[in-house]
Amino acid sequence: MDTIQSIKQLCDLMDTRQASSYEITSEYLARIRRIDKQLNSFVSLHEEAALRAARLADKNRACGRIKPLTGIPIGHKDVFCVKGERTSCCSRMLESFVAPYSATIVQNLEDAGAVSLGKTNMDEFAMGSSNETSIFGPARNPWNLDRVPGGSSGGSAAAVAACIAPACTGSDTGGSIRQPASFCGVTGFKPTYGVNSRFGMVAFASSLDHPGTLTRSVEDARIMFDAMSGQDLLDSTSSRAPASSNTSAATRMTLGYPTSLFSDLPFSITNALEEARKILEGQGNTIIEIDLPHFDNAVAAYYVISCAEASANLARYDGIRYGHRSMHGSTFDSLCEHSRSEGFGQEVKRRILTGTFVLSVGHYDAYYVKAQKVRRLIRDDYLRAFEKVDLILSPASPTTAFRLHALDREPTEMYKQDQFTVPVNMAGLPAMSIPCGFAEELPVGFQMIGPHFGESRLFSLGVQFQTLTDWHLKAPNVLA
Amino acid sequence: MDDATLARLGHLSRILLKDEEQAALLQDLRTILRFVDEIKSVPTKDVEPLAHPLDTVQALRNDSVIDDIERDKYQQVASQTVDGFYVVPKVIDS
Repeated sequence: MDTIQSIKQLCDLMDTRQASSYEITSEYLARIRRIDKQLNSFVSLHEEAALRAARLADKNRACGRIKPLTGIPIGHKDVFCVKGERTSCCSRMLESFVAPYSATIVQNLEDAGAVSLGKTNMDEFAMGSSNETSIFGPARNPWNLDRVPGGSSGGSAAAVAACIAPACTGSDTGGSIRQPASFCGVTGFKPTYGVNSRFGMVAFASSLDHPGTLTRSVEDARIMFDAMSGQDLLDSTSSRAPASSNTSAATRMTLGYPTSLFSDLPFSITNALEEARKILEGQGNTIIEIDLPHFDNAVAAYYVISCAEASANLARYDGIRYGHRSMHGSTFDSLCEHSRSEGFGQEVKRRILTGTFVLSVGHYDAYYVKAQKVRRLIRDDYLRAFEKVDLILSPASPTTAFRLHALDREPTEMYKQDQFTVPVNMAGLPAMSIPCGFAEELPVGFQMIGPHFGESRLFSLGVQFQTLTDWHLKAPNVLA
Repeated sequence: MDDATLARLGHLSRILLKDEEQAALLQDLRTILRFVDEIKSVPTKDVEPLAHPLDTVQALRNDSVIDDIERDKYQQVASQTVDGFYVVPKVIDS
């Protein structure tokens, strides 16, 4: 079996009986055992269950019961519950939590025939942009092991880039799919808010959390999206509006390009972005300048809102009903305090305390309500832009993958990593990060942003770009 | 942001702050608040706060009785239970 295989190619192998799901799944498990000591991209493996599911998939194929993902092994970010398996969120708080049910998107993927390989590494509770806050240690970038894979879905991005999983799920609250996709040279996609169910995904900031995927191509992202998405009555914010992955949407589009936002970027990033722009222009797409006046306020407003929501969501970890329970504390309150202090890492504590501050008496209006007003201005900027354009282009990240520990003592510098992705979550828009080149031997990605429920436009333009380029076909030689 | 405010936040969020981590946390929170303070300069007169990115109505399930109370299953993830109850430190003085 070739090293680099897309979901589509793996399906072809099974359709033509060149390989069974059992053989394919075994091969990926062997690759993980062989090289993941270097990457640390998986934090748990479901070997027995995966091989059992693969055998069942082979039986189903033999009987003609073939679904879009029958027999395809995939990894799940450790933020998603998989029934009977540990879901730790890479936190001591949930280190021994075994999920009694599966997340809806996990169930949807299994219903479409997917085989769960295991759980991938992430920043603790998805709070981070480098995958360094995981209790299992950082995942590493397969293009350069001294560099971070990005975060928080760093394990998923590293695993797909290194070809030790054909595709993985991820979650994106402020860029946690698109930034690691950019750092690792893979395709990262999150649909419109509410299109993928959040049920069974450990909550960080509920109005900003978007489940999505990391894949080797746009075509694979589309296959995963078709299987994952749909209204879910178990998620009260699940959308009833139909989202389409139809790639026959308009082939020539008007693309917005907010050049003024890119002035401070390193040449290597803007150069790759310019090349991508020229390729798209060459295909008959029209590029026009657009303005997003409140773009620069997004990261600050995002940190107020996301920390506020995190402080409320993480209040549930009391050490009593589930999660880490301290051996100390003789009263209910002190047991809670000890359990939470021992269970949460530093970044999580910082965000809970920040969120508690902005929600507290005397600060609520000045911070939380103010940030929500700024959020409306940001969303309205996009709505106005989409009156003129079909999609918006931008970088996915202001840098390529940085060195491990480079931003350890710079929490706000780390937050700025998400400057191009955060505004999209504030507006709940669908977006995709696609590899578009290299800078100093590290991948660079560009981002396409769509209007609400404009997934089909993203898939159309993404497929168009990947038909003309081969950046997505490159892989690091970590398997060699 | 001072020591007293940090102590109050620690109490409100039920996080015990160790002496050795307080100085660094205080510094971090000051830096974060300076960083987010920029939103105060954005003109927002007559702007309604936005709590949800989509203008949609929340979907509701049918208000019907379901027989889905699997206490044993969901209590398996708790550290300490007895006869279907969660065990907590004594909360009522004798």
